[in-house]
Amino acid sequence: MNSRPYRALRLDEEKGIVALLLVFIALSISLSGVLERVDHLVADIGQRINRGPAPEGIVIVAVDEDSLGRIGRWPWSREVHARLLKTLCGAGPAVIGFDMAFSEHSADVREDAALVAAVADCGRVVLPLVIETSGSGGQVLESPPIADLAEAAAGLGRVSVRLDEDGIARSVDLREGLGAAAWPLLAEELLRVAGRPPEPAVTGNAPAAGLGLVRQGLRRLAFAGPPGTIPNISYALVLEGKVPPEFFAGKTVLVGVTAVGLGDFLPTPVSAHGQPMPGVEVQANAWLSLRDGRLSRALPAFGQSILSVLLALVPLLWLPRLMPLPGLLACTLWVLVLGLASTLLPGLFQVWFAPTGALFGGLSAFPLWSWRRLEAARRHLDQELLQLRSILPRNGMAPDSPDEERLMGFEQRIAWVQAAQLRMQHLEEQRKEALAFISHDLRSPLASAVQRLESEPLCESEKLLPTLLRAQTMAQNFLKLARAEALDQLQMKSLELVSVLHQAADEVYVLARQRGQSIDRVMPDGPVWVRGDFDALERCTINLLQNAVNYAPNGTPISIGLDQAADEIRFWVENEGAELGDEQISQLFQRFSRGDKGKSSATSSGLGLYYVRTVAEKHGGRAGVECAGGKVRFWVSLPREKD
Amino acid sequence: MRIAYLEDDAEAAATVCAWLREAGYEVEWFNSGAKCARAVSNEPFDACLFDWMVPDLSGTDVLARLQIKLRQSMPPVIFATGRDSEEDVVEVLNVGADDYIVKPLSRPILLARLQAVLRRKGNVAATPQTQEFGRLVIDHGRRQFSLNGNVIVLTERETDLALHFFQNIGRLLTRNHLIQVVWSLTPNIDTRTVDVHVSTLRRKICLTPEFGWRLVSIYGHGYRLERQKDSA
Repeated sequence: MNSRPYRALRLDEEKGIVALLLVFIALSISLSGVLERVDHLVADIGQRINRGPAPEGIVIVAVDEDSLGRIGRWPWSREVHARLLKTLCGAGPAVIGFDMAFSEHSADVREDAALVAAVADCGRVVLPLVIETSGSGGQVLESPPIADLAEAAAGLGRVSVRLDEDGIARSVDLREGLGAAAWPLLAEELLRVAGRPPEPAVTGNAPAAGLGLVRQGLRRLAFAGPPGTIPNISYALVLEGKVPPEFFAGKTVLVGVTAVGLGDFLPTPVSAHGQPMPGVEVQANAWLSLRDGRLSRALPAFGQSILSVLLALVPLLWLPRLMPLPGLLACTLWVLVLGLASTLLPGLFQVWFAPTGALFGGLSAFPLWSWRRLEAARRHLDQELLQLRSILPRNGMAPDSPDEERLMGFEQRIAWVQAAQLRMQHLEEQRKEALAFISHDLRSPLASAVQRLESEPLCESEKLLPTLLRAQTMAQNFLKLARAEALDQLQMKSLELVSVLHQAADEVYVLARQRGQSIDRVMPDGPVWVRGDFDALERCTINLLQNAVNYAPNGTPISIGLDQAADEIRFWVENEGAELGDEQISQLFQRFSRGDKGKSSATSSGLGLYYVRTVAEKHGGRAGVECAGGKVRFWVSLPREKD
Repeated sequence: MRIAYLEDDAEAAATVCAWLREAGYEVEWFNSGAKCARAVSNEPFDACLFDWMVPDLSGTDVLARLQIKLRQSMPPVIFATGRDSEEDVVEVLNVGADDYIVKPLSRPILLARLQAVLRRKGNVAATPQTQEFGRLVIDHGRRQFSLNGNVIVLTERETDLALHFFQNIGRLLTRNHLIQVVWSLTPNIDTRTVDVHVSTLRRKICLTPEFGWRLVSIYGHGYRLERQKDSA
């Protein structure tokens, strides 16, 4: 099977898994509203960075601390309001609205009559209707102004504002009422009386619901700025006639309480540092939003969910194509863009999209995708490990069972693969060496034999034999070395070392005798057990003996012996010879190194002492050389067998 | 003496056949394992020389078949193998071969090993009462070894083992075989015991090249006592 479609399939599957999870995250957050506060946070940031034009056409006549000081304690007599109304009306405003309840009669009937007369005279006064919850029973009540006033007023409008569950005023209902959504906002009534009915009027009627509260046309306010942004003027100054009449001409005038501790104050998105906004200013903001068409509506739940899901899936467009860091950056950027877009939407298109679902989708996309990738990487590692384990049966670190493998951490797996890789590199080096050996050391004697045969077809075998023998010896040495390099201590058996040494000495006996050399055996009578490989140790000893035979002067004795210490067993081969220099010693045990004599010798492959060292190390021991008193002693030490 | 020779390389086979005929053996050459197995099970042969690697049936397969058919009347078998690692040799010995030779074959070694395995069947009795090898004299009747006229002091087991070696010079004796023959009455014998005894014999009887002997250990799985050809 071609591997490419398989991989593509795998990737699609991975994308599918991540997409499902993202849809789940986006939907659950978006529908459950658990993270609504994050939505609020985004919305509030939007309110702050997205200020509307400087407010104009409206002025607040404020019952502030100064007015209280000059006029007296609250509540004031309704005659005072009647006087104010006369002054204001005389200045020619477009409309006057009151944000104070007149739902009960005064103690003095003349006061009420004065105000009714003033309202009726002016003809452009809109009075508030409060829909409130009575303190005890939770019963909702509509509190209109007293009947005379309501009749005299040009309009009645609600002053109620929606508070979100975090207690902050962000939105209003265009219509609200008990039993039927009958009452418009104060702001809407102000506009209507001024002759500028707002465009987005509520169409259709919400179904009546018995005596319950019915709301219709939920809209989000666009605040003009922090508290105090809307121009206001002290009630007392107006009453005393200190404000020029032009100030009010053609404007909408809202009368309300701003003195701390008297009226209603609402926390708003724009009221920083816990500075709440007076209710009258909130009404003024509602008026501004309504007049300028800046009230925004939230997306319906269905559209909200669909959009959240789609936006949450967007990161999957690039994640499969990018490396981790660019992917992370792209996802971060995406989340920022999403957040910014949702803060700007109400200002630009009067639409509110709660972004949390999409935002958390975007935030989760990277970790989820990375998780799948890590899983894929782990699977890949495991597969590699499996393969490597079959190629390299033991590399020391490998766990023996799949159970053990499951317990391994990610880092361990990586370290394990690295170790295996190192071994592969090592094997590759060995392969190169083998090629070099075959192409040079092995081929050259064979080539010379071939050449000789071609030049003199009937040449004597005695002339050919040495070169062919040399090639054969070399090939054998090389194979032995390869076998030694693959020795495994775990597979070694207990063996009797003295007989191995005897056998090696027997083997070299003939060669030594030809040179008039004797082999003295300085060995213990009893058996000496070590854990090892019989063939390798024998070959290793033979190499040391052949080395001694080659380098010792003819007719001199060679000795082989064995010493036992507490923790190691050391066997050695000694011959007479010139002392070796330090540099020579350091090169002796290297691969393809030859002594001066060895270079001239036809049979030396330069592998002899390297083989000795390899075998010693594979047995957990060492090999070395000592020179003293005209003698050279090569030794190999092996760890004692533990019983 | 009739010898069955299994070898797929015709050229190598021709050389070896020539050596054997010159030495007075009658040789039948097979280049297929199946043919060879059929012939040996139907006709009498005195010894077999098998190559390990043969295309159809390997030498070990042929040996396994023959052992099932012939049982006690199985002629001795020598394996010629290009591989001489410990596992390979042990495998050959485990399937029941009597000895093995590493390729390339050498004529004297081949003839010596062949001679040694041919001596096996019932010829032990033909060992003379006393053997003399230069300074070493062995008296089988009195179970005595003497070197340079001095009697060598050996324990009962060492004597058994030494006599068995000298009755089977040139033959490969596996450690299990030695345990069966020498330690037949002792149950649960440790293989190390054999190694220790062999090592003691080497020292006491001076089985070294200087004295004309080689006591070869086959990776510790078996031993072969050989004459050192060009001894002093």
